[in-house]
Amino acid sequence: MKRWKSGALAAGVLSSAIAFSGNAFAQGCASCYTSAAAGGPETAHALRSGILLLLFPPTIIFAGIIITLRRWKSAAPGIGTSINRQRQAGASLSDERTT
Amino acid sequence: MSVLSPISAADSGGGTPIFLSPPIGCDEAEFPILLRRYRLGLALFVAAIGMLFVGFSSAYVVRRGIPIYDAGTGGYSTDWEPLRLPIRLLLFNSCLLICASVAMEVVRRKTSAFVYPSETNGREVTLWLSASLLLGTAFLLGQGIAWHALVSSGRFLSTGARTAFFYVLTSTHALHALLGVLAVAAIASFGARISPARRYVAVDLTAWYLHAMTLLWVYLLCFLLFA
Repeated sequence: MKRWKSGALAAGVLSSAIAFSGNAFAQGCASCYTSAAAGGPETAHALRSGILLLLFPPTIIFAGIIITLRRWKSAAPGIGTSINRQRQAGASLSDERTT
Repeated sequence: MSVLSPISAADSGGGTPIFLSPPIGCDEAEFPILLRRYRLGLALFVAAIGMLFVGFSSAYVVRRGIPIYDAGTGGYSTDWEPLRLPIRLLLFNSCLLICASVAMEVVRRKTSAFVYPSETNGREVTLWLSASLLLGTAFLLGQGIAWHALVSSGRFLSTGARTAFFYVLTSTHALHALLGVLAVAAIASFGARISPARRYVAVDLTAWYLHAMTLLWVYLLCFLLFA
């Protein structure tokens, strides 16, 4: 339920950011915008291809890493880690001392 | 059974032990979890390398498509010179790297995290490890021969953007592949003197790293030939 709520919140924030955003105009850099606009359609096409190439592989790579991490976390949340074992060992040792 | 205890000189076949502290403080039940963490670290490192090459690829595509102002004619023209690559040599090098990766995978599958190789299949593992090392070194030498062939045909780093991209992409990949070959050499040199668990982690991570470098090279070759 908590996960569902956080997912819905993230989707809401993202869709509002997309819905209410204006044109980026090359992030406001006048020099970049002027040189990109002056290059003509060939330059625009090359830049679009470069941006797409920069966009998709990193998204896939990091989405893969995040999904893997979440699967690990849900499969074994903290079970069998050294710290837990040390804590358990410490707890049993203290029980023996008290008894 | 504690498998990750410090090793003695007698256990390691008479050699001098080099890592006497317990390498990974865990037992058999915890080993897969710790191995997974090491693999995650490697995945992040490989992702960073991947990002570097994605950046190079993007720059390649943009540079190829953008027309350059020609002061002589007063117009714009695409300055992207033709480049004849030593394709056969590059394909042969690819085969060498793939074989090195396969040999390292065999080593990974034959290595145990709980038993010294000398007690079971040590000779076999050493042979596959040596094969991987030789093939990886041969790949790097082959790349050097490819660069020499290009230089001999008058293609230098300063010849043009396309030639420069070829040198930059292949040399950056070769540097990263060299890291993998050095790791294989380190395992071949010091592997018998460290604990089985530590050795397994080293073999596992090196094997996955070499696989990643092989995949990256296949992508780069396709990109350079067809893009």
